[in-house]
Amino acid sequence: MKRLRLLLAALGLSFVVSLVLAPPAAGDNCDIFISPEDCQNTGWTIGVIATLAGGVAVATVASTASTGGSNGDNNRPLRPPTAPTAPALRANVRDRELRAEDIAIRAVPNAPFTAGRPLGGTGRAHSIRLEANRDPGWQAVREVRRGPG
Amino acid sequence: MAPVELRQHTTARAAAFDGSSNDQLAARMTPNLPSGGIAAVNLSRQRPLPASTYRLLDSRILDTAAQFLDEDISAPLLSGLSKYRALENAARESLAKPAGAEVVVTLIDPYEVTSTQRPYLALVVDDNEIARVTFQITLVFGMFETSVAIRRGAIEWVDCNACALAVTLSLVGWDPPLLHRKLQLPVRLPVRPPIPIPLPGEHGRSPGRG
Repeated sequence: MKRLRLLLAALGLSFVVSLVLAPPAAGDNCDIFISPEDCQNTGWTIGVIATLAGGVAVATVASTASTGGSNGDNNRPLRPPTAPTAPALRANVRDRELRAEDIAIRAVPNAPFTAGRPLGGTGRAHSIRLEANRDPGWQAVREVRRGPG
Repeated sequence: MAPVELRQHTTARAAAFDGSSNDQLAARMTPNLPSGGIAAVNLSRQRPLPASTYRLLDSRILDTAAQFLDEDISAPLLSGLSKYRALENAARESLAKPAGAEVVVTLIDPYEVTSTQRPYLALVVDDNEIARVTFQITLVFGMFETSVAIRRGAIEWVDCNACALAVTLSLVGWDPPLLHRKLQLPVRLPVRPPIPIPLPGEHGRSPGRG
């Protein structure tokens, strides 16, 4: 909207400049279409130049508006990007990494520590030693009692 | 249900939890979890996740942790027994006359074997560990009326009429335990191959075989 106002202002300015500079030429024989040489040193020349300059300015403003050019207007909303940007992709990956199915669970066993101790005593035991003698005719069994183990 | 007899390759799941499935064990563990769950606490340094994601992760963590109960519990029992001084003496005696000699040791005083293991679960994303959840499995055997047969310095047989077993699976740094069970079970444990009893001062001894 602001660009349209600039366009209209440029047109109006060029028209005013033409009118302001034209009166000096109104009182002589200057006719730009019949004898342009009579119009030398009159406002016609400057008026025509000003009109052309205004046209150029209008064309420039219109061109800038149509191509999107530099965004000098901070209030104008930015157009959305046509493709995902790199930061957006990284954010997506971060989200995926934290999904439950992306987390693997690995069991890592380790060796047990084992200890033994007598309960309520000194670890008494007794043992029997059995000696099997394969010689035919006799066998021997010896029992040995032990104190605290 | 008849108690499971402890043999080689008996697991804590079979002995103490009637062979329950992972889902059944996870259901028993869930009420004992920290109020904030497991994953939410351990992933607090990451970006916050939806509550449903934390619940799903907790479910998978418990399912995997249940597999820690599939270890052979006879191994720590035998390891603890082999430290009994009377068994060390019997092992020496059996080694002195290895030909056909078998020493049977009967424990007069009760004996307790404690096994502690701290496995952990690694939470991994693209081969990077982002969190670790450490568990503790504690097995406590109370051995009463126990006899141990030793040949060539190695345990060949363990028989216990009154063996108490307590199995505890807990989350390190959190009380109460996730699972806990106490039970009585008989032990009829033929040891194949025999497990040598470590003797101080004797290194490189080959395992005894009958």
